[in-house]
Amino acid sequence: MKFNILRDHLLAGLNDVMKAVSSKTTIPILTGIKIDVTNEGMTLTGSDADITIQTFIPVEENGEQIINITQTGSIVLQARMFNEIVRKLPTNEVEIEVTNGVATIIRSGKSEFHLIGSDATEYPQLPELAADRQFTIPTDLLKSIIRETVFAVATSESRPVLTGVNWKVDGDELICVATDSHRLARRKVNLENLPTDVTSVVIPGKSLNELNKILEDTNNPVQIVLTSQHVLFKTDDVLFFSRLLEGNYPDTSRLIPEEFKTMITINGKSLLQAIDRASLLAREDRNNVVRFETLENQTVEISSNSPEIGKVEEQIQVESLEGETLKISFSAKYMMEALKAIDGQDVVIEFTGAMRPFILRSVADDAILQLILPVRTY
Amino acid sequence: MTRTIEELTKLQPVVMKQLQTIVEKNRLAHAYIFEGEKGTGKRDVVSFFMKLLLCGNLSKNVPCETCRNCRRIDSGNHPNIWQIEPDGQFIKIDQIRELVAEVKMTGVEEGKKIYVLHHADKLNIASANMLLKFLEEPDGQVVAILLTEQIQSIIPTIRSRCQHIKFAKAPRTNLMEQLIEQGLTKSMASTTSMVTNDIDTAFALANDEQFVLARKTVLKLVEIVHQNIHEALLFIHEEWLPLFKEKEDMELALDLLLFAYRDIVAIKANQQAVCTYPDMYQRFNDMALVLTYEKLSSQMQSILQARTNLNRNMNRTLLMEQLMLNLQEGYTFV
Repeated sequence: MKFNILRDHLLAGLNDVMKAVSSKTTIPILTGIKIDVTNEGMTLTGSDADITIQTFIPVEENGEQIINITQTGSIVLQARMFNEIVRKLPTNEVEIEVTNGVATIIRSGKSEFHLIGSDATEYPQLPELAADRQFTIPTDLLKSIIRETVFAVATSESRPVLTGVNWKVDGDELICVATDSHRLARRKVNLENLPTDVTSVVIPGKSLNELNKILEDTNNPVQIVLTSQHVLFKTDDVLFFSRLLEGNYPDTSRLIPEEFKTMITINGKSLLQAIDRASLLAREDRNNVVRFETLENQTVEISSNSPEIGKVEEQIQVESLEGETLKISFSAKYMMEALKAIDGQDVVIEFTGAMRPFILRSVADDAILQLILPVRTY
Repeated sequence: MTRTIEELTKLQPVVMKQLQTIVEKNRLAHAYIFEGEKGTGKRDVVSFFMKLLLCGNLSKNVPCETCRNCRRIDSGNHPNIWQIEPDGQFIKIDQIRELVAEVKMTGVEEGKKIYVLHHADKLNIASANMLLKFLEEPDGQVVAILLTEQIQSIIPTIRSRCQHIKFAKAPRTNLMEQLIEQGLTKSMASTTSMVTNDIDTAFALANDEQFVLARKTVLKLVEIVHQNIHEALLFIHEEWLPLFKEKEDMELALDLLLFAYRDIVAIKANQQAVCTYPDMYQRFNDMALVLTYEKLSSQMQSILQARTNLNRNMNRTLLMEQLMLNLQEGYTFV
């Protein structure tokens, strides 16, 4: 393998894939970055087994010659070392040559590095992608889906499948659900070309958070491929693979109540702030419990009481209040996270009694739904 | 210390056949315990088993050793395999937690996921219980392999959830060959391989002065007792008892003595027998010609009796004197 490349392009590519490389890995080869050079360009791959990021640098872009290939081939080089070397090279022209299998020479200007690489066949094999199974989502929509659901995944390992977000295909609708069994976040999106063979996957919350960091705030389309083992997100030049969680995701559709006894429409922001204030006096070790009570005259009262610290009460005007009167307690943390996830001004909160879960959604549409279980207080 | 498949088949014929049949008949269980003493080739068999499960082109239940999966199993780079070694004295709960998190995800590549716990007897109670839940109800194609030298130290709840594969002790001749390869003399290799089945212990014994001296003393006693009973009694007082002060030393000495008589019987029955003391072959051969099977059998009986008496804390001097009288030819005194 032998080629010349412009350093800034190589560095940009390395920057992306380095995000996936982890220093603590049990598989030695994953401390490296795989470089594949074909006649079309160069592919860089970095992975920590959970996620894999791949970037492609074309031979030519916008009329500029980026890579000059003498001989194609593949090699795995120590990620950290290679990244540092490229970063500190003296000129913008980099020549990389692999001789007798794994010995790699990196030349730039008058400096010459000899690195010992590893055999590229040792590197994990990425799944083959069927291009006909992909569907697309605009980047900003994907980012908001992640933002609206991923916070609700479970953090404890006692039920590993709940540490992921369930993506389920139902006709032309993609339903994303995350729950930690105390609260649930659901987002529905209407999309075209959804796959029909793989209809339900559980994507680890951690991977989605990583993906969120990598995606830029544009409305370029992201192509998504679901397979039984992996999910792939593909932007212009970056491929993001993630492993999935094994196991069946619980059926959440039955958890969401259909009928309601109390229905409140309220300004999301003012409720969020009121709860934030009330939670100041709510004790951390008791789940940050705040009380919520309906009063006369279209008002509700948010209160919190810790005998050792003190208490707080606050009344808020609501847009509308229908149904039975209600006293309910819930976790301020869950409520605030749910409110933050709902865009738009007004939210609808629908209750079915003090001991039953209640749901929050935006007035405008029911694409986003947040469900919270109340806390029993005496 | 990687062995080839031929060597493994020679070392563990039953286990190898068992594993191959499992794969052939597609009767893979979700968890196995590989149990066997040190030096019985567990590690190599595990590697063979993993190749058997993952190799892309098996032929006649033998992995190809050349495909990508086989090579990555050898280099430890296969992404679907997790190996856990004890961290210090125990396998700690964090290690198991990490393992569970890993295995709960789909494999990096297609195919089975395998995790191997080395020294599974070193699971502490917390880790064992954590593992238990997960061993019980694996999601997906997961195979657990637990390696241990002491199966009794693994909690019964784990044992009952795994299939047991028992590794037979290595044949003595194999061990001898290895010891000779590592530079021991033939006679020393023969003796130590008789005392232990483990190559490291055997090696340590061979380099232990006390053991070398014990071996010499025992052989001397065999000769003396054959010639003159009075000398033997004197020898016991002057050399034997001062040398073997501790009970363990005495046990070992009596074992060595028993092996000497075993050699004589073996030579009498079969001139080509593999001896414990090949250096004494000529002398033992002479004795074998003189002694009858009946006599030899009663002599071995009396050594075994002495060994039992030793554990009953009999007076050592009396014990040895009695033994000498029983060993001598002619009349039985006691």
